[in-house]
Amino acid sequence: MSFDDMLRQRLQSEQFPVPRDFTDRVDETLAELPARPGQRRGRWTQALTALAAVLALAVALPNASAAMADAMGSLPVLGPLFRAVTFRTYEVEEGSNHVSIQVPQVVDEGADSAGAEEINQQVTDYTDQLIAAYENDLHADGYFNLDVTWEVVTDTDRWFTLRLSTDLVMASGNHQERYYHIDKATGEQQTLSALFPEIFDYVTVISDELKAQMRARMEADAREHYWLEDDPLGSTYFDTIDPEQDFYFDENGRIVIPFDKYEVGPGSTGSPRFTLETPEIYENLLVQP
Amino acid sequence: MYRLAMGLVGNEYDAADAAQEAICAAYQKLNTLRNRERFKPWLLRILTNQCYDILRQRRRFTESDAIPEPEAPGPEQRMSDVWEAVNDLNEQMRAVVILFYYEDLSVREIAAVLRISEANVKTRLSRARKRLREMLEVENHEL
Repeated sequence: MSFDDMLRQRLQSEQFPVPRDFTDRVDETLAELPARPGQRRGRWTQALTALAAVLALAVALPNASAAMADAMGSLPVLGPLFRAVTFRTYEVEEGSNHVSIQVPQVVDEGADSAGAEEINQQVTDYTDQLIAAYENDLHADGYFNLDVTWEVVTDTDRWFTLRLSTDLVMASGNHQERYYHIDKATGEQQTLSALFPEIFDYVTVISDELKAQMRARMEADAREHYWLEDDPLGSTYFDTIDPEQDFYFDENGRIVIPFDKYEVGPGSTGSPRFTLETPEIYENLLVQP
Repeated sequence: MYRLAMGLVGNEYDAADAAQEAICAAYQKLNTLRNRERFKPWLLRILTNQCYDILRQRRRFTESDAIPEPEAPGPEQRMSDVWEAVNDLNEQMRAVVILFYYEDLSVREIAAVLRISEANVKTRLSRARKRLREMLEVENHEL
């Protein structure tokens, strides 16, 4: 038997009593979680009149803009134009519970964009999941505050980005963001890896810059803390980004990497964002938003 | 959860705090879990973050830079000798050992839980094995 096998066998066979206090605390915590609710009075508000008005604008304005651009010969229209509209809303006000979910839908003009269709499905799946979680797992006597809102953060000739923000407050607050991108040149949904050629190790380059920025921020502000490898308490720390890490382009065409709370630092650090500055990143960028 | 929390924060009170916070946080974030099969590493990652937060707070409010060693078990709950050896490892190796040997997570899953590279996980595991071997051989020799 190898040392590894012996070690595993001994570790798993030896007694490891869990103290009563610990199990009691866990049991109490589980018992205090919001339980399965009764019949909810949640409703999908099909704001047909408003929706029709928004859709009319969404279709009419791009047509007008494209026609004007063609006539003036000044602004190239590279691909279909995209807009986001609130497709439906889900609202609950019941006791101390508040839920407001705005479900956006990406509307494209001039072509059936595969990207828009994919994003709309992903957004629907996600918001349906949130609603199901609320309806199935929460009870009426707990404090529950959920807001889902959307915003178009980038809309250029080449690029379209929709941000979905989720704010959930129960025992404590939590803020999460999701980003959905469309390359207007192709009409397809894109993620971070599509921005760079295969030979460029963007994961390492971006990760290195993020770590450098985190260190600089900690030096500049003692209240801001990031979990990095040289942290003396480093049992867990940020090392590399996910190859499909969330991102968006700011108004200057710079890539911004947003992190959710607790992703790279303690709760006091909040939901930090980092604007990438390394020239090599932009020299290798396949898309100029 | 108890083993990992104890291994990281070193005392029952903080371990229970971390578990409690992790359960609440996991419940809040449950709708973000896209793959149910990854629930265990997902939950352990949340727990690890909570433990780490507690360690940071403890460091902030203690004058000494030294993190207290894991407390000795009470007479009613004698820990195993191997567990004591695991507790003698430094914090980085301890976390990897607990996740690998006790929680049966793969190297890839541990990398995701601790947010470090797989190569880093392997390095820590290798060093931890070597250290444990030394400690347990001394122990057996003394016996």
